[in-house]
This record gives sequence, structure tokens and C-alpha cells, in this order.
Amino acid sequence: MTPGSMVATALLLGAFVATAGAYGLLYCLSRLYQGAGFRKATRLSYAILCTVAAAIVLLTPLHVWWKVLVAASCAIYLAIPPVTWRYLNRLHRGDTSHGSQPPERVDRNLFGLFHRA
Amino acid sequence: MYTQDPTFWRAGAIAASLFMCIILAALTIDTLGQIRPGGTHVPSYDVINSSITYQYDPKRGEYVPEIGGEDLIFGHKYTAAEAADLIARGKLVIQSRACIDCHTFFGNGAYYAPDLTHAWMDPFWARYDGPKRADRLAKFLMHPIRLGARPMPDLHIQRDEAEATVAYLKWMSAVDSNGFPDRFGAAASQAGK
Amino acid sequence: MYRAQRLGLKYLTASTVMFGAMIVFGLLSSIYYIHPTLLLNTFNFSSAKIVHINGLVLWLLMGFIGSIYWFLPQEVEREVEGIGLAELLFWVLCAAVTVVVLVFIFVQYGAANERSMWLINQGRKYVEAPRWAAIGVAAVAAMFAYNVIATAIKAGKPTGILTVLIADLVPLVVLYLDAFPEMPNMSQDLFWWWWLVHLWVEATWEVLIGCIMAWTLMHLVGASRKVVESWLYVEVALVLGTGILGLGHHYFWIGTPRYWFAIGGFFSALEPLPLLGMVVHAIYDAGEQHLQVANRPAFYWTLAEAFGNFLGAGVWGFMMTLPQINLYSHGTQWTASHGHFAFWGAYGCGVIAVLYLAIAKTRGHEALDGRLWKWSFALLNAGMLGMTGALLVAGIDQAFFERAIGGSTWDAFLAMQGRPWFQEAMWTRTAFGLIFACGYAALVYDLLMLGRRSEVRTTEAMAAAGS
Repeated sequence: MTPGSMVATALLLGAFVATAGAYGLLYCLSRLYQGAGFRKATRLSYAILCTVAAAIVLLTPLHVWWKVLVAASCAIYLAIPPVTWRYLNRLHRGDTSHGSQPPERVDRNLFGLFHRA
Repeated sequence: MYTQDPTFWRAGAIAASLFMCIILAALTIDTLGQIRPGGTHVPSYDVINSSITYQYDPKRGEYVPEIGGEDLIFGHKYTAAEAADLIARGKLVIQSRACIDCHTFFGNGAYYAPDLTHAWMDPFWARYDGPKRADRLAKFLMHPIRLGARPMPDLHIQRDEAEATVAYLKWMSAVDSNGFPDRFGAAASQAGK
Repeated sequence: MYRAQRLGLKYLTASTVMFGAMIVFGLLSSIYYIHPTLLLNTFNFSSAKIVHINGLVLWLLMGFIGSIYWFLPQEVEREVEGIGLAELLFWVLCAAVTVVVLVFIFVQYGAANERSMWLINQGRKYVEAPRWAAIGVAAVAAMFAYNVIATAIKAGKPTGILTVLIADLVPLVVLYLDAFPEMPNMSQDLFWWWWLVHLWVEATWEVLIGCIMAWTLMHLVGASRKVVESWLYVEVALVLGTGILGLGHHYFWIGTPRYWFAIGGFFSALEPLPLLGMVVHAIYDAGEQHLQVANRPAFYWTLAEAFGNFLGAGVWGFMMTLPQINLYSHGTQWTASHGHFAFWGAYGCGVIAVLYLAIAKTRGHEALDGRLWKWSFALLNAGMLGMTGALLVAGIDQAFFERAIGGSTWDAFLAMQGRPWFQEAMWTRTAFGLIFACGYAALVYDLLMLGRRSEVRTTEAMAAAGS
């Protein structure tokens, strides 16, 4: 491993988790707000996550099993936001004790200005 | 759906934690055996009577400490018991002066001063042979001279404390740290220093 | 207000004071990097750093203890058992901390003997406090655990959150036993030391802050008990499932066997996964409330907790956790970058959220808003991001030049410290540290003045709802 590839690998690894976070954030926003923009951004961010994962697998000098772990993590990160969201929804819907509504697709745009449907 | 039942996740939390703790306990017992002095990774304390160098091991693909022939420090061949006492005292010096709050040991500590894992073999000291090296290191600890931009303070280290610390550093440099730091001293020797 | 809640407020106040002390000594520590002969042989870097990192541990611990004393009586709807002794021990703890800090500053170190270990400085990172003080801390911790456990027993059937807390407090207190021994073998010393440090900050403390955040959400947004408890169990399963064996990522280079590379690296790489779940949860809650919560600062600091934890611990940690990278990043400013960001995101933000919650209730205001908390929020987080970024640049530079190329010799180290990027990073870090300090000043002023000024505004939603 050269010094340069060491730094590049580390930055790619950080970018990997950061992009996973961005994907999670955008996924949640796409569930909260209408508009194709967030859905497109979500798909794009996951595509970037896969690209970063591919770069780690193909271009870095990590040992093969770490690359397998990164690839597997890429698949797992895809599932975490929707599974978590669905779980939280079911949890809240199954519990009406404090009367709050699950935040599904309220008709409004980004800056909290909402238009009643 | 059972995943909506909190008790499912409570059982999962308990099971996961217990399972991991059991594995940790088993690995701990094995590791403690390997890191005791004279174990697979940690030399016995009387290694301070021998020469220690850091060599590339092609089988392992990393640098490892090599223990060689006799190379005494302070003109004395320490018995196992004497070495153990000296090492214990050295550790007390290191703790009493909180060396770990400027330096690192195996990379752990503070990042204000150099890592001391292989200080014994540092090119700055390794230009002196065994007894002279130990003596110069001890004198440095007692009256630190300014080696670079980052001066070491005078911590009122007495002669016997300094000798114990030097012995400690020598013993520590013989610990198999799985190749950390990588290529220690290799760059300096390549540069012909 | 219950006596325990008043004690909680005392602990939270002491915590805030320690936070300030930590910042002062952090700023001082940073200046040595720029001016290495500062106070040489009078007050060295190590002395400044010791107060800084012990201040860190104490402000967070006091914040946790204060938060729990605040929430516990409300949870069980009765006074906390043994509160009288707890009140006394609070003052004993404050006195002990004061003495220890004064000894750190004016005595600093002693000769290599047991007397130094008992009275002055034990010289092991984060647990430098002399043995007499460690006994005091252990006593306070044991008393605290007694308060919680006895209260739960007296109250009858403990709640889920309380059960998790109790199950967590026992190992948390027991782990502190590592603050006492003095082991000649450095490998053995560090092996057990990491049980204390890692199993605190990447296991038991995470569960602890999870319990505190569960209570915070209940009080802040009226989250239902069933929801927060279910989520707490999920969190505990994932955090402990990955974090317990993630301990192995500290066992790469201390003379321990090689199997820790695989075990530590693997579980450590999984640690960010639950943190992403927490981010999703935070956004879910924010969305459910339509970002309109009565106590806005408490809410935004809770959000900062989720994001900061993910970034500081998850992203920064993952960058450097695999052994092939860690070989070069270990023990550099890269580590410091990760450490600062992770502690802030995982714990600092959470304690500040509780500070705002407790202050609001104390001053009799449900609704909190204003400009100052936003300034404090921006300055503290910008300051932290700036420090983290500067240390990252310095650390990467160090890993590249000092470790990978230079072979980590003293020469390589000293040459590294003088490199332009490194020096600039040190200046930048201090500058952002000052920004962080300004944010702290704004925080303290805001907390002192809240409810005492007339500019507490209700939110638009509350006004619209006519409340």
C-alpha cells in the first residue's frame, strides 16, 4: 500500500458512510415531502453510494474480505432507511395514545409552507 | 407482527449482549495468556539484557522486533526478578510523570510528543551502541536537551528513575505490536543517516 | 419539584461549569502546538491536557447523572430513594473535583512511588485522578446506582427504560474499577484500560444516552412510552451487538494477538449501522412534529445529537477503523479529530438538549425560542466542525508524511510538526476553538437569562392552535 493509496482509501471509506447518511436523509425527506425532486435525489445518492463502494472494491488495496464487507454493507445500507421508516410507522400507528399522526406524505413543500389538499 | 412487539426486541437486546459478552470473555482469557511477559507477543522482562532490533519479516509481510545476543544496559546483567522490579519501577515513573499525556505508547496517549514504542531503537539513539545508548537516554531524561521544535520539560527524574525508564523503553520495544509503527527507522536508514 | 430534580439541576449546573473548564484548558492545550515553549517547566502541555480530558469525562458524567436525577422521579412518580445522602455526596464530589484540579495545576506530578499514585496523579489517560479521588468517584457512582435501583424497587414494577438503565448502570460502575490498578506490563495495562474507555463510550454510555434521549423525547414531543421503549430495545441490541466486540479495534497494535484485526475491524465496521437508524428516527420525529416543537433549542440539540453521533463516530470512525489504514492513522491528530467530533455528537449535544429541557420546566416556560440559542447552536457546532476539519487535515498529513513515508521516528515526528499544512491546521484549530468558546459563552448566557427576559416567543403553530 502506498502512502497515497492509504489516504485515498481512508477518504473513500469515510465518503462511503457519509453517502449512506445522505441517502438516509434524502430517503426520509422524500417520505415527508411531495415532489419528484427528493425521490430523484434519493436514487442519485444511492447510486453515488454504490459508485463509492465500487471504487473501494475495485481500486483500493484492501484485503478481499474487507471489500466483501463493504459490498455487503452497501446492500444493507439500502434497506436501513425504508425498513426503519416502516417500523417506526407501524410502531406509531399501532399506538394512538397521544394522537399524533405518522408523518406520511403531508401535502407541503420544503420550507414548511403547507397547502391543504 | 412479532417485530412490533417490544418484548421481541428486548429479548434480542439481551441475547445479543450476552452472546457478545461470552465471546469477549473467551477471547480475553486467550489474549491475557498471550500478552503476559514470556507469552507469544510480549517478551519476558530480562530481554533488557539482549540486543533488540526491528527487522522486516517477509513471511509476515511486516516489521517485527528481533531479539539478539547479549547487550547489557548500565553495566549489569539483570536476573529475571531484578528485571521485573526494574520494569515495575519504570512503569511507576511513566505513570507518576504522566508521560502518556504528551507521548504515545503503542500509539495510545497524547499526540504532542513522539511515539515511544520503539524509542529504544530510534535512529537518534541507535547510533550509540548498547551501554552508551542507555546512558545517554538516561541523561536525556534527567536533563532534557532540546532536540527539535518541541522541547521536553524537566520532570525532575532522578538517576534511578531514569535507568528504570530506559529499561522499560527497551523492554517495550521488544513487544510484537503486529508491525506498528510500520517501517520504523527504515526511511532513516535508506536516507543513509 | 422533587428533591431529586433539584439535585439534578445542581449536577447540570456543575456539568456546565466543568464544560467551561474543559474549554479553557482545551484552548490552552491547543496553544502549545503553536508556541511550544509556552510555560515550559511551569505548566506543561501534559498538565493542560490532563485537566482538559478529565474535564471532558466529568462534565459528561455529571450531565448524565443530572439528567437522570431530573427524569427519574417523574418516571416513577415518587421521590428518589436515598436522596439525602446523594445530596451530600454531590458536594463531596464537587469538593473532590476542585482539590484534584488544584493538585493537577499546582503540584502536577510526584516521584515514582505509591504516594504519587494515591495523592497526586496516576498518569493513565482519562483516569489520571489520584486513587483517593477515584475512590470518591466510585463511591458517588455506587450511590447513584443505589438511588436508581432502590427507587425502581420501591416503585414496584420498573418501566422498560428504567430496566435498561439499571442493567446498564451495573457494568458502567463496575468498569470504573480499571481506574485503580497499576500494571507494569503496558500491553496488559492498555488491554484493561480499553475495557473501561471503549465499553464506556462505545457501549454503556451509548445505552445511557439512549435512555436519557428516550425520556427527553417523551417530555419534549410527548412521544409515547411504547414507541420510545421499543426503539430503545432496538438501539441497545444493535449498539451492544456491534460495540462489545468492536472493542477489538483498539487491540490491533498493543501486543495482542492478530485475530483482533478480523474481529475488531469487522464489528467496528458494523457500528455505524445503528447510528444511521438513529438519524432516520430523528428525522421521523422531526417530521411528525412538522419541525414545530415548543422547546425549539432542546429539539434542535436532540437532532444535532443524532447527526453528530453519525458523523463524528460513524463517518470519522469508519475512515480509520480498518487495520490497514489504522496502522498509519493510529496515534495521530486524525484520532484527535475523530475523538472530538464523536464525543461532541454522541454525548455533548445530548446533555445540552437536557439542559434546555430542564431550564424550560424550571422557569415555568414550555415554549422556548429566541435568537441567542440559535447563535450558540451555530457557534458551537461551527466551532466543532472547524476544529475537527483542521485536525483531520493535520492528521492525514501526519499519517502520510510521518508514518507512511517517515517511518514514525522522532525525526519524522518533529519534522512533521513543522510542516506548513500542519502548522496552519494548528492555528485553524485554535481559531475554531475560540469560536466554540464563544458559542459556550452564548449558551451559558442564554441558559441564565431564559425566562427572565421578555423575549420568550411562542411558536407559530402554538399561536395558531390558540394555546
